[in-house]
Amino acid sequence: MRRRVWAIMALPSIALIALLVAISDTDGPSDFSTSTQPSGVGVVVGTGDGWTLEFYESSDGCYLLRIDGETTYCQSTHYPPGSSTWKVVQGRGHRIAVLLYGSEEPVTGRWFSSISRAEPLTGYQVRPGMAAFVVDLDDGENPWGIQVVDETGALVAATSFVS
Amino acid sequence: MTDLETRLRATYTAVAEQTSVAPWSELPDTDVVELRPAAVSTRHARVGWWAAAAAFLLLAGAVGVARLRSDPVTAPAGTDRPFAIPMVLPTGFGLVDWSTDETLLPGFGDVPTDAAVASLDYLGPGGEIHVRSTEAFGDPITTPRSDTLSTGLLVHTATDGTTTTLAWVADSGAAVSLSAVGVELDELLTMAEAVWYATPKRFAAATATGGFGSQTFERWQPPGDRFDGSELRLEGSLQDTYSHLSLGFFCCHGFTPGVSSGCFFQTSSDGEGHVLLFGPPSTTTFVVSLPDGSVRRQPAGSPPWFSANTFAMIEVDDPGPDFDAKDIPVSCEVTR
Repeated sequence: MRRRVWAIMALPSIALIALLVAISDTDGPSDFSTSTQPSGVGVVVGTGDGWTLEFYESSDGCYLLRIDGETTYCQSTHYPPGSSTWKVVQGRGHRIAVLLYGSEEPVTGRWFSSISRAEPLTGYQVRPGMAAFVVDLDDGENPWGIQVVDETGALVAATSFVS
Repeated sequence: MTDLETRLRATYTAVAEQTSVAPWSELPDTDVVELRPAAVSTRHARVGWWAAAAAFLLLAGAVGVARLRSDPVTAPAGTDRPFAIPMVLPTGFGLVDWSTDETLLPGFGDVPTDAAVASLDYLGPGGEIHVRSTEAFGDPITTPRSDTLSTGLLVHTATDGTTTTLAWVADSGAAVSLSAVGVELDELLTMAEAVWYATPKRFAAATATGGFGSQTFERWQPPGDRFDGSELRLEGSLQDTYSHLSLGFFCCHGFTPGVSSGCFFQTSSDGEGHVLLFGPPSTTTFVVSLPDGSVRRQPAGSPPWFSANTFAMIEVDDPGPDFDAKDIPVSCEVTR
């Protein structure tokens, strides 16, 4: 009789734990956190569907992505002209590809992925001498790379996201 | 014992009794007679000669008709490297689209319905470039032309409005079309010379992730000495804006290819006396004056995937601590 009671009590507990694990695993590891808010006042330099790209001059000139009040770590934007860095951040139901490219001139981009070929991209001027490209990836979309194009239409850089 | 068995035994016994066995040397001599064809009548011989002559004339006529019907510039159909991938691009151009299901080949006639035509499309400052290629087929639209290619037979150059088109049949057997807007003819000719002729499998690999991601696509052993690193490699990516596709050699050397008029050499930086020789496509032999005063004649060769240059590798014995390629004058012997 006592065993049956324990079994009856254990079943809801196991179900509750499984539910909590499932909820917490929905987004996998997240690059967004409420504990990584930068100091100072930021400037929104780009917006998309549910996200903003913000620049913080007071925090050593860093940028971050914000979704639903949570942000990524604020990343440095100090890169010489012609150099670049990229990353794919995820969390809050999004996977977002970000490319920072050092450029004194305005630039645009072309996006390549498993579902896109040369899709035009807006180049956000994060700060003087630094442009950023942001792509909110679709489900199952694999990023391949971004071409950076100057005002004349000339290709000035192509950054590969393929390892 | 059945009746059949009884009859078989009787037959075997009879055969055995009528057969003699002896060593070869003890057999009685037999006449050896030369085999001759059966004699034929003079009339039959005449008919044979007439038949042979008729067959010869028929064959000669068929060959003549075939040559008249097909353009002489058409390469033999069928190649395992039908797809052309430019290894150099005009400054500022980048790959934006690719496929293997095109149906048109500018500069040539109708493409056979079963032919796979590869396409590569590039965008650049104020212009665009389109490369189409497939296995050669016999219907080029020939036009008068003054330009030539050293790596194939140029069959068509034309400017229609703002579009300039080059078409050629490569030595590899591929039929290639290069059309562009906003690009000088000289730049197109440079592109046409430095082309990687790829198998369908390699083309798929090169464009698999939009051309992003560096790979080593081809490896080839040049004529000459074999040593650690004595291979030529085709490496890079279709999206690399700096080196794009390049030829790699030794551990970590490389250069962007192109047709050259002179002979060149590059030594390894490890002091091992390894030398890469390369020259124009007409080079048959590299003539190298070695440090010890001797002269080495090294036959040249081109990889099956790239014909704009010839190559060879040699290893100099006892190169010494200050060995440099300039210590070994090289000249090229070329075909006339």
